[in-house]
Amino acid sequence: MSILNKVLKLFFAFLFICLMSFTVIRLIPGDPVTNLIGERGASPERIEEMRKNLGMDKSIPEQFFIFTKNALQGDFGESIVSKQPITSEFKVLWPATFELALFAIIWSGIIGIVLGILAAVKRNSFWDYGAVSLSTIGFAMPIFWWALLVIFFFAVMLGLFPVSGRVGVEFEIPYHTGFYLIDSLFAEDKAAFFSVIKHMVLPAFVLGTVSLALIVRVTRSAFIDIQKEDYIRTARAKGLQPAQVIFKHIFKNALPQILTALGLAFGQLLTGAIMTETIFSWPGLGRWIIKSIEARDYPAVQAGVFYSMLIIIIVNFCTDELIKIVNPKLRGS
Amino acid sequence: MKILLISLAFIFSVTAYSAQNFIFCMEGSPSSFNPQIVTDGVSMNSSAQTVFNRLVEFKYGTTEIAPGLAESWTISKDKKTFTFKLRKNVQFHSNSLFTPTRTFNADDVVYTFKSQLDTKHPLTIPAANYEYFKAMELDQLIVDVKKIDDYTVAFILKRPEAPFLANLAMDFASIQSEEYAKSLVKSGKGLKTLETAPIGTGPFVFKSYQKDSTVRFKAFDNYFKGKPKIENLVFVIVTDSTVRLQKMKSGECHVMSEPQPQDLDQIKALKNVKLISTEGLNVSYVAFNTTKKPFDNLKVREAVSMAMNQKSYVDIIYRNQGTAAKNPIPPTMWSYNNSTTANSYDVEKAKKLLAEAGYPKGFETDLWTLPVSRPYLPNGKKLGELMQADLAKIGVKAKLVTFDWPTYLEKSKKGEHQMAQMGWTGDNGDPDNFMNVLLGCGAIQAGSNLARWCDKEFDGLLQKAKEDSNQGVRTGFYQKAQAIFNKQKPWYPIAHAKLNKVISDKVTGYKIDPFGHENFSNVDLK
Amino acid sequence: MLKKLLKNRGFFIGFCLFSFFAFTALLAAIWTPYSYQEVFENSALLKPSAQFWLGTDDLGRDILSRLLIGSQLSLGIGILVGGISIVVGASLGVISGYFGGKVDQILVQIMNAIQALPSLLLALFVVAILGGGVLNTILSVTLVSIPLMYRMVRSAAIVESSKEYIVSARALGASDFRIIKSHIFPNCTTPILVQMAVCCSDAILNTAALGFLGLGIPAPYPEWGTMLSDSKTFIETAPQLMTMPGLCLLLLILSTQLMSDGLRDQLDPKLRGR
Repeated sequence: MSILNKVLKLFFAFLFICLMSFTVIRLIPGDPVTNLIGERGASPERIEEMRKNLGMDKSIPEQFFIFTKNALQGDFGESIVSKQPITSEFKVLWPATFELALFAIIWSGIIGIVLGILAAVKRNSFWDYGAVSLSTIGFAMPIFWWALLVIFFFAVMLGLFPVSGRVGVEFEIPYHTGFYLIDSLFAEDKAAFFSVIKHMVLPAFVLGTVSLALIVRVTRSAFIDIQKEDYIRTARAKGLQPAQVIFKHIFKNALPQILTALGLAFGQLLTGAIMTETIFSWPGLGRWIIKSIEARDYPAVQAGVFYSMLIIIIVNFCTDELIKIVNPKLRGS
Repeated sequence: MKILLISLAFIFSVTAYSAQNFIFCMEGSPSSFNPQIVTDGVSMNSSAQTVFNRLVEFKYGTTEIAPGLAESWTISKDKKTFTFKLRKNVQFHSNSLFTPTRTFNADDVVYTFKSQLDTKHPLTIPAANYEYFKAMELDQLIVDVKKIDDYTVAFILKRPEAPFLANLAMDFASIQSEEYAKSLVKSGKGLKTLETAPIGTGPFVFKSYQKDSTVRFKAFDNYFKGKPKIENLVFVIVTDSTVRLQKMKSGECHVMSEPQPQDLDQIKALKNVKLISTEGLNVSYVAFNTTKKPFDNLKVREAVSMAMNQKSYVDIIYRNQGTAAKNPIPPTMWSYNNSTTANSYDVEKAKKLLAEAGYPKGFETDLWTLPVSRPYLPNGKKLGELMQADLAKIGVKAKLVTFDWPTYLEKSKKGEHQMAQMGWTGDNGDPDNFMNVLLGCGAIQAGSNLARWCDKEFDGLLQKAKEDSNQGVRTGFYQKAQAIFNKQKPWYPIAHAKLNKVISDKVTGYKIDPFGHENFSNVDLK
Repeated sequence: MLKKLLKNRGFFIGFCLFSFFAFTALLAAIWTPYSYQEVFENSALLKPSAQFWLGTDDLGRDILSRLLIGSQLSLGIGILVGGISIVVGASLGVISGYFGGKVDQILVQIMNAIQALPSLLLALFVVAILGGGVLNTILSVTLVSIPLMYRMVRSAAIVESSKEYIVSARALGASDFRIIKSHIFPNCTTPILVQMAVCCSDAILNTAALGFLGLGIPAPYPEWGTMLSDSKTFIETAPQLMTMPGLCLLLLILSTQLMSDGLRDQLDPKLRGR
């Protein structure tokens, strides 16, 4: 696939999410302009002004064009509740979610892959049964209950970690990147840095369990399949060390599947983040989306639809590319 | 592994907090930082009590009126002119948008009131409703605000008004900077900025607001009553009461609002925190929208009131931290009418009344439940579930509806509800402040009369009581008004709640305020 | 076939659990210890006792009765959504796979659009647009589950319709409806059954998640997710409140997933052990 093709594909994906978020606001019963303004302070003059600004007096295709143009510039209007431009809110929010999701995927990825390999290599052993039951229960576990249990044991009973929040309230971390771990280092505030880590542990643990189940399952089944392949048997027969076989041959061939699973898991994490962030009062995208829905903050909901789709498309795109890099056979297919 | 262990040990050993932060953990998010346009306590505490001052103010922790930005005042013989002498050399705050070039003077006072009085005033915020100002009927009362000289201002009233001075001590009467407003208009930022970047004369300077997370203030070095003892004041928004308590226990919060009744025993047993309480100046109620069917029918209101088991509400929701209400004002307030009949619980009679009203099989309706824990009502949702179960017994199917707090206020003001839970904490100690604000005809337009109930006789009594300055005479009027309220049932009064605050034992100089204000200009940390 | 299936350990466990919840749901229809809405005075937050087998909640209502009614709700919604997704998702899948062409392309695009967002997020947005309530909650979780069924059935139908006997049947002029009815559908039962269980478990989880966020099935219905979110306030003073609704939810979802795994293993032995 040529570069041009990729760009085209991304462009269409972008148009698609614009179309979706553009439609969403028009599906809500009532006048879209009033919905966008909300109840607060909507004098007739202001409504007219908004209607003009949003181009609502124009035809639908024209409106869509204006919306797409604004979206390209990252302009989604003002939040009804906070009266701040949504983009400026998003700038602070996404690093919070990303930081959390990143840590979740790192720990669950490492442990999931190791467990999956162990289970596949030592089939029908304790490890295998353990890994299979773990992933089965993990799939069925409602994350919000899991979060409550984790909070109960580690925060309430043992008092090891804070119940909620992203950093102790006494710290004020100046904004550089929005990633608190990095920003607290920028500020050379050691206490703040450790406070950030301490706040991260429980939510990242809870969030990671969602993806753990998936990664264990996929790694295990990919390994089992590849172990059966002829070339692995040949490699074994040739007398290669088991470890060598596992890492050189099987792992390499299982990697595309595992990467796909990681990509999928990242999408899942976005859903998981909604619950996790709400329970842990983590000031990220997920909690923001819930709050906006509760507040009927339609411009924010609209932007929420847009941004969450954008993230998923970007993640999917990146995993596709990564898979092609690790497995040249798939190129062009 | 070893490194991991060492770093882990390091993480857990870091618990020393920087000392100069004073942290107040509150239950909700402010909707705006302009006290002129907000009506809820959280927003008022985050703006009026910290950033602003008023001409006259309540003495800390009491309902007594004391000088604020005005040093002294005189009242004319016909009681229609109030003249205030203003304090000199009072500095305004500055922020990234604005640096004051002059100190506080009469122009600021005139601007503050005239912009609320006259919608055509050039510095009136477009589309703002100035709800409080209207609810207090100051738009009907004040004829003019005149600048006599730079430090003298006269208020000219249409008629004598007994609670006027107390009204000026209320949060919405906070004095704004005229210079700031003008500069905002000039720079094109617009007057809406007053809602996000307030400038006042108060003890603390507004620093930043992180949505749903923290509001940060800094001590104002040039505060005219002397710089506050604490350097940084942080309002942390923790909506979940369990988490709030957790943070209180771990020492993260110094003062915590709204402890849940079920946690009080646990709190009392804790070592490093104190529970302080006082009788609250409040009432909680369910407002029946009397302009909508079927609640325009008195029999329906009576039936619904009779179906609700008030005792269970006070027992379960308030856990004895409240007393059952029957009047719109709390029993600690003067003019409380003890002879009115209390809510009675009688399902059979309620059914009969409902049948007489033409709804033998009941009806479907909605009941709006308070989304946040407020001093007068700790848990609206649970109360809603209890009421829903009670109403089901007489065939009334109530759908529970709720929104986030600002939206709830907004929509209920517009009268979109059928039944809505609401409550009120008095803010000037005068019965007028309850009955007129919440049930007066003028308050329908302003939005604070959720029952949208206008009874000419009731309203007439309130107006008469207002113009008289003799408390004995006023008491008579108010008691009569309460009797009418009792018969007409625009509300189902629920309870008067005790006020509880949890404070860390490190905090000194903190007083619990009967109005529910949080003012930290006098507190310090040990 | 059921006999064979029951020999599969996972399926057996899942089936037992599921039957248990089916039993409680049926039981709740005729008997609960108390009314789930009844408030007992002076008995809030009681520990389990002879009078209240699982204790009472913060308002003094019997938890067991609420759980029983809750099982009715969760199971009912699960089965309903599973059913609707068969009627809508599977039919569309078969049509799409059998006829192919334009219809197929359009349907695939629509399903892609629905699946562009993770299911809970989409359900949330639907509820945000339509407003809460029982019907809207069911509608939103159904919408989310239809593409799951559609995709699986479509690919099975494609495989089936390209088989020789179908091609020749078509060439001989048999009506499309007949072919679909007597050949395609019966041969797609495996994926349909497997996916129905998946849809069912997804629906239960999503409903509970919406309830937990306060946007799902409204009070007075004692939905498990809502019960859990209410118990959050009492995590310190009465942690027993959060155990039962969560456990029930976990077991019910687990049962449907075990059944779907077992079905797949049994009916499609190639995948066994995956």
